[in-house]
Parts: sequence; structure tokens; C-alpha cells
Amino acid sequence: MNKYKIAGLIVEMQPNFELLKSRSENYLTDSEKEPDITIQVSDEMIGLLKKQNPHLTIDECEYLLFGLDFYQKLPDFDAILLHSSCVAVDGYAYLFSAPCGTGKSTHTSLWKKHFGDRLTFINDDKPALRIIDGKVYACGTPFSGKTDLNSDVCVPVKGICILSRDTKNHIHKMEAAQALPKILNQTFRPRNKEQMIKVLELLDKIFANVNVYSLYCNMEDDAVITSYNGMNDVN
Amino acid sequence: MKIKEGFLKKNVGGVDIVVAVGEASLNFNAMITLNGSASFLWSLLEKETTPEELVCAMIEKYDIDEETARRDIEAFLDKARSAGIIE
Repeated sequence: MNKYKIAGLIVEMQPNFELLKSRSENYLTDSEKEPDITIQVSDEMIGLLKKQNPHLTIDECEYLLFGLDFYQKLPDFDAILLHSSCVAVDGYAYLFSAPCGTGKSTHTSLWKKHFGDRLTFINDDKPALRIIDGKVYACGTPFSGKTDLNSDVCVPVKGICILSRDTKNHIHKMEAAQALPKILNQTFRPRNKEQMIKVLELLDKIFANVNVYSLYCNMEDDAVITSYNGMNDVN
Repeated sequence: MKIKEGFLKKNVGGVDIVVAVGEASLNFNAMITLNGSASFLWSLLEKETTPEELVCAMIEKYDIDEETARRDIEAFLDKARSAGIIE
């Protein structure tokens, strides 16, 4: 099996199809270490998903199931998935989470236009949030949804926005009670009790270390200034 | 009377919340936020108890009159029953 380094973890997996092969290539490692995570997805599972979803290609089915298995195993390593578009500017990560179709990627593409080379896409759809020595990092993974916008880095998190569309741009710090249901809806919720306890404990640490904001924004450059300044406490 | 199997109470970010796990999560995918007294009632209801015992415990803990305690507890139990959380 191939070894990859994803979110600082050694991941063992053997992709058979081109999509996952090419997208995970940057994450290959020749590390001698024992794997932290071994992705176990059978051909039968891939075949079944394909049968249930004829509009997906077999490549996409493998990509989705390998990703799902990876994210399900993250809580054992103090990490969770946050469904969001995540970018890094000047060494800090900014995450924009929202239900599908709200405009997460649209907002980060405005950031790219604004910041140019200062900006790196960490993951356009499914970054991992990992707690290392009490600090919260956003990590790139090869599983980034429709686009291939991701990079093999772990960057300290500056802020998380829950994004909504509006005609005017404004941003507000959220209380944990308001933010929690939004965040819980955009992560993987385990059925298993022990795993769920781990996820909630990780969220508790994330809330203690990172501010969550509700961002209302349009599609103009001013939206970038509002969200960047808001998360950097600049008025 | 008690909370059904499969509901997990946890403090996250200073807020007491409840989520469903195991089989209960198939029918209950939401998240409940509990205020102080609701959280107190919830912990009592994790073991088999009666409305009378809840009333006594509320009066003792919050130093309130019986009528207020009964009203609060009924309101809590109504919500919990309609969400299918209590058996």
C-alpha cells in the first residue's frame, strides 16, 4: 500500500482509480513510520455506491468513500472534518462554513482575487481541524470536493465564519450556543457514543481557542475586507 | 420516568447540549441546548425518577416555591415528551 502524509498523519491507502491517485499524489511520503490510519474500503462498497448513484463515476465513488473513511477516523487523532472552504493568508487559516450552495467557494475566490499570491487554498470543501498541543490547526487533505484546491499544510486557525448571503456585508462574533448547532451540522457526527464524546470534546477545545463569527456577505471585494477585518479584530 | 437510551449530555464551549447517539440518532438528528435548570433536571432524569422527586430537588436547589417548580418541570417534561426523549 502507498503511504501518504495527510494532516500530519501517516495514512496508508491504495487508490485504484485516476481521480484519487492524481489528487493524492502531492501527499505521498516515503516515511518509514507505522501508519496512523489505514483506509479500508472494499471494491464491493465502491461498486454498491456506484450502483446506488449511477450519475457518479467509479473514480468519484472511490474518492468519496476513501474520504469518508479518512474523516471518520480523525477523532482518534484529535481532529475533525469541518465542511468549509479554507484558505491561508500570511500564515493564518480562515474557514468559511455553510450549507451547500450558500457560496463558500465564491467567497474564498473573492479572497484569492484580493490577496493574490499571499493566499493559499488549504482545502476548498473539507479541511481537517486538528488540535496539536492545545492549538487549533487547519490542515489540507486530498479530499476537497468538486475542485482540486488543496495543499499539504497545517496552519494555525485565525477564525471560523458561518456564512450567509446578504446585500450588505457585516460580521458578528457568535456565542457558543448559537455557533454549535451550525458547526455540528457541518462535521461528521458519529453514531458511536465514544466517538461522539471525542468529537464534542474536540469542539469544546476549538471553541476555547478560536472565535466563530456569523458573516453576512455579498459578492464584492468589500465582503473580503469585512470578513478579514472582522476575524482580525480590525474595525 | 427517565431519559431514553442514546441521548448524550455534554458541556461544549460552556453550553450544556444534548445529542443522540446509536439507534436514537437515526430518528433524532438535532441538537438540544439546555439552560441551567433544564440541565439539572436532565441529570436527575438520567436515572429513573418521578415528577414529585423532581419538584423536591428543584425547590431545594433553586430555593423557589412549589408552584414555580411544578410549572418549570411541566414545561420541561412537555418539551422532552414531544421530542420523544423520555420513557
